[in-house]
Amino acid sequence: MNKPGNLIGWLRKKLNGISRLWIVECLLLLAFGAVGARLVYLHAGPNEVRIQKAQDASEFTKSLVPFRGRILDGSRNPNILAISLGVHDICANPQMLTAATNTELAVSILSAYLKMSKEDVRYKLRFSDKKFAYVKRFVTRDISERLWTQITNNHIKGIYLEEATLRSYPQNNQACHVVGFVNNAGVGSLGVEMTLNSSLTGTAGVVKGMRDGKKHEIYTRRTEEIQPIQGDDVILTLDQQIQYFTEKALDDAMAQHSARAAWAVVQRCRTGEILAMASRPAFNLNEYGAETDMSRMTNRVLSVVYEPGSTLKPVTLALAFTEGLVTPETMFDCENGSWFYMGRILRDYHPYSRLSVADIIKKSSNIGTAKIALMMGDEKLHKGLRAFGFGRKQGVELPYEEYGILPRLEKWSGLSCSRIAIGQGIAVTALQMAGMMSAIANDGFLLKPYVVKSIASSDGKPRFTAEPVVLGRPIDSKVAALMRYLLARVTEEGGTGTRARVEGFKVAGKTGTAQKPVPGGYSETAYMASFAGFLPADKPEITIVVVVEEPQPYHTGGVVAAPVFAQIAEQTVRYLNLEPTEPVEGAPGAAAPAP
Amino acid sequence: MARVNRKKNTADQQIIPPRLILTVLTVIGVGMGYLGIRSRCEQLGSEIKKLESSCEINQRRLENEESKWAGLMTPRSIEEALTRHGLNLTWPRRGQVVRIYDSRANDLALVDMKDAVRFAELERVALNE
Repeated sequence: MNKPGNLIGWLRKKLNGISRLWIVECLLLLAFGAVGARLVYLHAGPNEVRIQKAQDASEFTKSLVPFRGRILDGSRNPNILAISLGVHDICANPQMLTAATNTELAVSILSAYLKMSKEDVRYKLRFSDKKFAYVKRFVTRDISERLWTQITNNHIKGIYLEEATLRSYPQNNQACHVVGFVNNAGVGSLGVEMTLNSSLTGTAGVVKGMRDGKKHEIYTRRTEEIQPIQGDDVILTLDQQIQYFTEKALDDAMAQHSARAAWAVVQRCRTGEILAMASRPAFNLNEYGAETDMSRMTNRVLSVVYEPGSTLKPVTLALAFTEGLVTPETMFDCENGSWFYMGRILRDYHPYSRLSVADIIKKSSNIGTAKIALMMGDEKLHKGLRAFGFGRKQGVELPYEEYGILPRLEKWSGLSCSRIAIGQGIAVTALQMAGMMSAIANDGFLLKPYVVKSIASSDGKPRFTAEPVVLGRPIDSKVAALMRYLLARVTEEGGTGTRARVEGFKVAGKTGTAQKPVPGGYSETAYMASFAGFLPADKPEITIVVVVEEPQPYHTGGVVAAPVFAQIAEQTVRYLNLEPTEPVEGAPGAAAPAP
Repeated sequence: MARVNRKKNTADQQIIPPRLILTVLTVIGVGMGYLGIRSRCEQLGSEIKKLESSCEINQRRLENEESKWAGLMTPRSIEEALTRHGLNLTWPRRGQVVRIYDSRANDLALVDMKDAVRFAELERVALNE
């Protein structure tokens, strides 16, 4: 019975008489019945988990990342200051790559195209049991595409490209403190990148649909498609060219005077627009991660407060004129350079016996200015300084703006009035000084400084356009005109700011030299040299403030900062094509008035 | 007795109603049309996807080139290039600049200042007077 032959014989015997066709039909029926039952079970049975699983396998949702908006400068043909680029991350499967026969060829190709040593490439691929490793991130497309051609031509398996986005700053360190940078998480971390992060970021899009068994999208089954909204473009008021003049002048000053730091701001005094804002030392925006000295990232124009020294004297005088306490001809005894008041001695840099108010500002007499302030009194001086914007933020669209230090009136001692009037015991930012000078230049109107000219969507539709904002009017137009006249004398022969002169233009301004405060008093060796001014003096267009920290060996504003002002102003007026207001030697029809 | 030819059908047996033929042909036609359109849709979808992808790649390339161009056009780069080619450019001396005035000269020369002047001439509320 156990033999196969016997078994077949037994079956034949049993099936004898039964139609073979009938058996086949039964078998087919059973098979189809089973399939049918399975279908009914799959479709109608309690199988939600499996249904969900099947749907999950075929459905997909892909997030479409928006590109961050560009940052452009405000010149007539806007230049790109920041742009997001589609780049590639070069990835590898070390397990697959090390098992292949052409590993060394792969290493050679990667090394050659990615400008890495072969040792570095091998180091990146050292975990041969892993299935993923970055070889190099953020590789520009021209390189990655050429690399990919080589990889495919040589049939190398285990290397692939991943799409990535890189924020690129073509200007490297130019305007780095204003533009700012985006961190690895894609969040703006300094400058305009930080303050306008939400506008620049854009809105993510989404694609929903179905995939086939090979994970390829079935285009006809795309159920939802929302394109990403690219981030808005931000157009700054900065002008690339003026920014360059300013930065170059600061670099020269840093080298010439072995200064610790230097910063400057150029403002259009009629509107408050910032045309240039530079701070030295600076950093490269494309390599911000490699920067170890965090002080390089400080925008000193608005984040560093310093004692302004004599550059604050115009405020004292303007307030005294407003109060009607003095006229330009009023004479003051300047005590031959040394005045003992309330137990302390106040000195002038050069001794003078008697000076008019006009000459007090021209010669920068501390004693004369202090006496004028004492005539005015604490309360009026304090109120006037507040009206000029000191001790409060100016409201520029940049992070980390300082308030400055203007002590509360209750905290003023008997000496404060005489010292604050000459720029001691008060701390300001260069931006506040620019605001003050612009107010004098602009008939007394204090304007809000701004760096964002406009914001436009990626397709060019305007979303925001900046307009000048008046913060206040600390002095009237007559006093402002008088101050312009007096400040223009500072750069004339006999004044302290002769080195700030610009050929063809009358320059108004004020020099400042302040000892740096140290614990217990003032340093005898460390100074802040500054110059704040505007031009043309009669019809002002631009205000420039320059501050140089700890210059050596010369340390006065007139010697150190005024030439920097002149260097920036000289090139800026030419670039802006401002018409000379003064006769120019050798010019045909020099300074002929325009019809 | 002659044998009956079973293969030879009667005329009645061969007749298929024309309406049925028409219906079947219509169904087949519609089916073929559907398949054709569906295939065309798939093909177009695939082409659209390719074009989308190509458009995106070109867009990325354009941005890369724009970035490179912006880098080349910085004042520092231009100055370096001029130095490299031995070109020492300076501003013209004031005396070398000739200004010609006409009715539009001021507007053209000070086009950037136009807004500034307009704003300066605005009647504004003095806040801290």
